Amino acid sequence: MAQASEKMVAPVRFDDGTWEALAATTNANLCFQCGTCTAACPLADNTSMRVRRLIREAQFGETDPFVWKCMTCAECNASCPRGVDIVGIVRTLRGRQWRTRDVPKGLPTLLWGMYSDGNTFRLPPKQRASWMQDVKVPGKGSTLLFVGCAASYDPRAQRIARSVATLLNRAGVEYQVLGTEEVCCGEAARSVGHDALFRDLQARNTETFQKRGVERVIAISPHSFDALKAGQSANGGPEVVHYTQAIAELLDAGKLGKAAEKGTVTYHDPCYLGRHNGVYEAPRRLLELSGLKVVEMGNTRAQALCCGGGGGRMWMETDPPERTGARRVKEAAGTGAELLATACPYCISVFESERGSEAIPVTDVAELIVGRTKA
Amino acid sequence: MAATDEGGLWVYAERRSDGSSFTPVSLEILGKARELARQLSVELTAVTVGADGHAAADLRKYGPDHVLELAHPLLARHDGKAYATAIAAEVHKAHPSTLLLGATRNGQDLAGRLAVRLRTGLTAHVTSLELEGKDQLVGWVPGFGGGIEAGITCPVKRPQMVTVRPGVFPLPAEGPPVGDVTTVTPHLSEKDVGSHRVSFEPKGTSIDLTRADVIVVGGRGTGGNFARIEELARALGGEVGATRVATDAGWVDRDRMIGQTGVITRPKLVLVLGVSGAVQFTVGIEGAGTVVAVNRDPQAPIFDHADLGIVGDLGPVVESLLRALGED
Repeated sequence: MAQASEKMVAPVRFDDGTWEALAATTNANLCFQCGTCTAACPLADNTSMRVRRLIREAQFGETDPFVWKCMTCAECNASCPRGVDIVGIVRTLRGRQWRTRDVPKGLPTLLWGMYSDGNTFRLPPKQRASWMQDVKVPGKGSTLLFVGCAASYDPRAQRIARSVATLLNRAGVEYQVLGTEEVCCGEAARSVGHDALFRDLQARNTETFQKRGVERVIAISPHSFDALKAGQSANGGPEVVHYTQAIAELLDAGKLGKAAEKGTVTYHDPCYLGRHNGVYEAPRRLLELSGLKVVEMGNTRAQALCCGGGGGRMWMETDPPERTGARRVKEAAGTGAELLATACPYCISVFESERGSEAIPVTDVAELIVGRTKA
Repeated sequence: MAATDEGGLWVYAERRSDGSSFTPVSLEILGKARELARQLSVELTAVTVGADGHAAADLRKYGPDHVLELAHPLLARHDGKAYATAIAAEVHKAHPSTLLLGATRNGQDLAGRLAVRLRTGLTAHVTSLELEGKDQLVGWVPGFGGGIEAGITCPVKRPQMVTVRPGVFPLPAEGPPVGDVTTVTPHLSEKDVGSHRVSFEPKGTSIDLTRADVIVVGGRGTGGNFARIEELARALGGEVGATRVATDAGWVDRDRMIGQTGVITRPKLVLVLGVSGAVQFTVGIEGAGTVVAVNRDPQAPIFDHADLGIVGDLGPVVESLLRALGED
């Protein structure tokens, strides 16, 4: 017995592989287990997801199955007093799950589609330019409009792409699009922890960017914006901006007209535009262009509640009580605004699907401006 | 097997529900127990319980000195009470020093009952086993989410009992059959059986839409009236599918949801009723042969995917289809 008692004080067993992977890719070692992340996590309210516990388990080499529920909204990152990259921890832990294929149903299919068809919908690459319809693209200059999978293939999101192109055309911007040469930015692969595929897709786009002499990329989806920024800055590649930033510049240059003032709109900050990249002002200034008064929700800017579509959750089913999207639409309707505007195709898709009985229409910032201002 | 196995090491080899093979954890423990028995210089007995002796001899491939099979028609299916009665009687006869079980649902059920009957201690859910002293087993059990491990012993009572988590020990390689097999018929009557099976219905009569040739899909526009859609599917010899909205509303089970977070189907014919046609749904019917869509809204994007489109109210269209198919 004495022997056993002595042993009891020491034996903590690490799965060194997990910890080493975290130490190599994140600053997880800075975590001092205060639990602020858990308090900030939007899933803590209605699931058993506890971010602090997830990190604690990771420190001991365990992977919490809740790691797949994470929407990578980064509310935890934003609140962490030690500046721990918790989203990075989630991505790394997910990455380790791929080694044993311990991943949610549907994700392997998603990744195979991204690999072979270059998009997240498993649709033919040759349909990638179908969003353009009657929109004319100048097709010259060193600026590239990167459309991304959603705005290329999803008929709902295609309207965003056409609106952004229309605004660029109105301001006389010279730009090109890659059409069927564009491939997925790989953000979904990075989010679900498959870094190899992410890097592969980045490399494919980088090659095309170089061939086309691209010096500036305007991304339509905040997810593409974030992923291309990460991928291109590592390669010394072109500058990457979100379309709201590019159009805000045109506004400053006096190249776009303003609509007459009338009505109200509330704005939802997409996680990958706001918290991940700090872009809060550009979309709000564009909304003023629409003549609508912006009414803020309680949880706004860095505290914005995630729609639930990030972190690969667009390809995983979420039980209705766990969905944040429905909560967010309710919050938007509660402001009394006439419209809910946002600047991300995932947010729009989730809100339109989960708004239930809420009547507030959901729109993209670019669509709103095109609809309310004159050419 | 020797009449008494004083100090012996016993492993409970749990049969799978089909009775013909053993749970992997049982074999994992047998492998580990072989090693422990050698260190202890005691004999290793694999104990198995069931209706007949057909499978017991398979255990000889994992190196036991003895296989003890308790066979009785009342033991055909796991029943904690009957199994504990049968095993306890043998333990009382042979006095093994150690009894190891797998921490499966049935193993946990049995181990608790046995420990009470044998008036001994039970270390549950260990992730490793060590020997200490003459014959003291230390079972290591993680606590606080894996943050600490407690070493637990049973210093006084015998047999010392342990349940082992599945997967912590490697599956032993099969070797040439060794050891003898003894079959014992326990004295049991109906009153020793704690549960009776009234009926057996496997959970999740889940259907596989990926193999269906004909699917009739209902969406938000059905307003939840799936009774007629089921009739239509039946008339066409097909299956019912649904959109996420229809599934969320509880009109249809989740395993019939088609689309990005549901099933990707390739039917020869799909009828899409009251579905607007968001891409998150249409990716689920991309590989379909013929798509027939019915929707009130002529602008609905679903018509871009349809080979045949009917603009109109669902109710009358479905009734006409049923009439045409001779169902009404």
